[in-house]
Amino acid sequence: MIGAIVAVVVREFLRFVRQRGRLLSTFARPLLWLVVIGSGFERVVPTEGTVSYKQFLLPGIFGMVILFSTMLSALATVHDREFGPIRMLLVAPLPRPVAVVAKTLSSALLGVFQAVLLLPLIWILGLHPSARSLLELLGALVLCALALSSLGMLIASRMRSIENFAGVMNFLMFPMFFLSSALYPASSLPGFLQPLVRADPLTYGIDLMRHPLLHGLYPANLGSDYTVRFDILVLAALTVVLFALAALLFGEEDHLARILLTEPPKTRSRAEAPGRPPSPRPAPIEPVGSALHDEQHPVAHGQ
Amino acid sequence: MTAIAAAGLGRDYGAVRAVDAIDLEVRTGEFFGFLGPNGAGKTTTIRMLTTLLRPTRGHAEVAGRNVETDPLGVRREIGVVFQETTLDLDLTAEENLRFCTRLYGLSRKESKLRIGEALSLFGLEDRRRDRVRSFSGGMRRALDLARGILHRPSVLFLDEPTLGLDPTQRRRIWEYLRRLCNESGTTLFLTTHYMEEADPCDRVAIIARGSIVAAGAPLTLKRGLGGESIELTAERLDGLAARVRSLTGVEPKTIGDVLSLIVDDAAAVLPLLLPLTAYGVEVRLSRPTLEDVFVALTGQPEEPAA
Repeated sequence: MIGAIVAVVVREFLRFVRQRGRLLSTFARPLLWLVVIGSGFERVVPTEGTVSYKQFLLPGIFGMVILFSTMLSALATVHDREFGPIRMLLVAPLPRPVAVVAKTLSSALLGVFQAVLLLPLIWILGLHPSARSLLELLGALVLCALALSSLGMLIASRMRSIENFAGVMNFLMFPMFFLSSALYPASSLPGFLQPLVRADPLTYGIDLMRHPLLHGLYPANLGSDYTVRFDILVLAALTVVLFALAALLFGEEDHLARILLTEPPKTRSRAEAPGRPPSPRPAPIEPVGSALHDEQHPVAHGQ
Repeated sequence: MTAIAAAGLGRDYGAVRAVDAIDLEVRTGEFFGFLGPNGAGKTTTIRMLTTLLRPTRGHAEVAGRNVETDPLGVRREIGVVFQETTLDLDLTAEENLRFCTRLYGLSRKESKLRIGEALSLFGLEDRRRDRVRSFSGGMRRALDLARGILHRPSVLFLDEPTLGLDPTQRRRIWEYLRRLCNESGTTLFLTTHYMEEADPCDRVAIIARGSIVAAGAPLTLKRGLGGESIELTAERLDGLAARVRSLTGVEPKTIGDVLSLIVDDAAAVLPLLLPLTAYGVEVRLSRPTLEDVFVALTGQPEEPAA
């Protein structure tokens, strides 16, 4: 069981490092937001305390990185279930929930990892957190990532195809980001939006990160909205509930059947491609691969 | 010893009856072919036997364990090679295999040993550090197979293992599977819709529209047809069937653009058909293939309207 979790985590990280585009966007997107949005808003948002707008924005950027990373992982799960190693997981001698644990954990760790890559921004923006504050920040990153990756898995368990990606992006990721306290203190949003703000897991994740990062400063209007204890409680509760739901739905037999039976269109085109086989003739046995090497076979596998 | 036993096994999807109620018995160490056209219920059957789908009715045991009451026990004994590749294209061959040895909790030492073995068996050692994306279809398939046997399953399920491969690659895969079965005593259960491919199997079962229509050794099934098959081709087939019937007294079957005739003794029937050659009809004698068996049993070509 531990082996399976390790296997999935290693695989996710290897894939992440191999896909240069993903690595690049880890840096590009947050920096773009920090520099462009940060500079623009800096002039608009009044600063009353000793915290600059960019310093206020930084936890929001970490939150964004985790949000995008975990949601992408979740969507990759949908694809994996059809074509990828998730299937290997389902026929390995492991209880079903282990697959969900492994995916949730690896998606959370990958999110945290990407946020950690951006930690130098803390000092670039002139913050000097203590070692203890850094540890607390790390804890906040982990909690936030766990809650979001559980949410991602829950969505993935209900999604049939990766084609719904744009929908998830427009109706989930962006609203979650804008409704959280990433760009402005949550309290500054109008009353009718407050229920949504409070329903957004990212709100508490970012709020929790803001505590250690701005520790010792006087944030005035640009501080945390909730207490540390409340943030932790909400995130932990969300993680448990969302994960339990995801594990339940992921393993649900009929649903699994439906997904597994959605024949990917590739199957059909591939089935038609080859001509009739020749009548098998006895031939000397040698390693299978040897003759296969030189042949370039134009079977495209999207992955 | 029985490796796979199924009785009345069936599965519905809503109102659709994908697999009716099939009985199967595969002996340990047997090379068993499960044949049928696309959509006949092969994949559904494999999914039930590999615990991915719960049967609607009947029951099945794999390696002596019930698929419904002891799915973990079944999964411990089986290896599965899916129709679609499950490889990570951005990972190397070795990394793909290591994913699997980790999954099955093999020790580092054991894992290294088996990965080395599997790679050399498939002649992939010198590509072990290359990403799978650069592999040909045949090499990818070989790696899929290698992954399926890394944990030394006692029963290996393969769903259309040669789909998408060219004829040479297909033959290689089949030779390898035959050898795996002979040398390691692994029970092989594989599906294919290429009837002619299944000749190397010890026994086959033919499934059509959710039911098994024939089972036995390929040779026995072919003999069961009563000997030889004569094929007639012509520019226009209409009317030909009636002529053939009146000349020979045998009812021919139309398969695509070919008229097929199964007879006990071709030497006696062929002269009767000779007059037809004057009208541009080509007459050919062939030994019955498994496809003929399938057509004879179901009255339809293997891939209708393909």
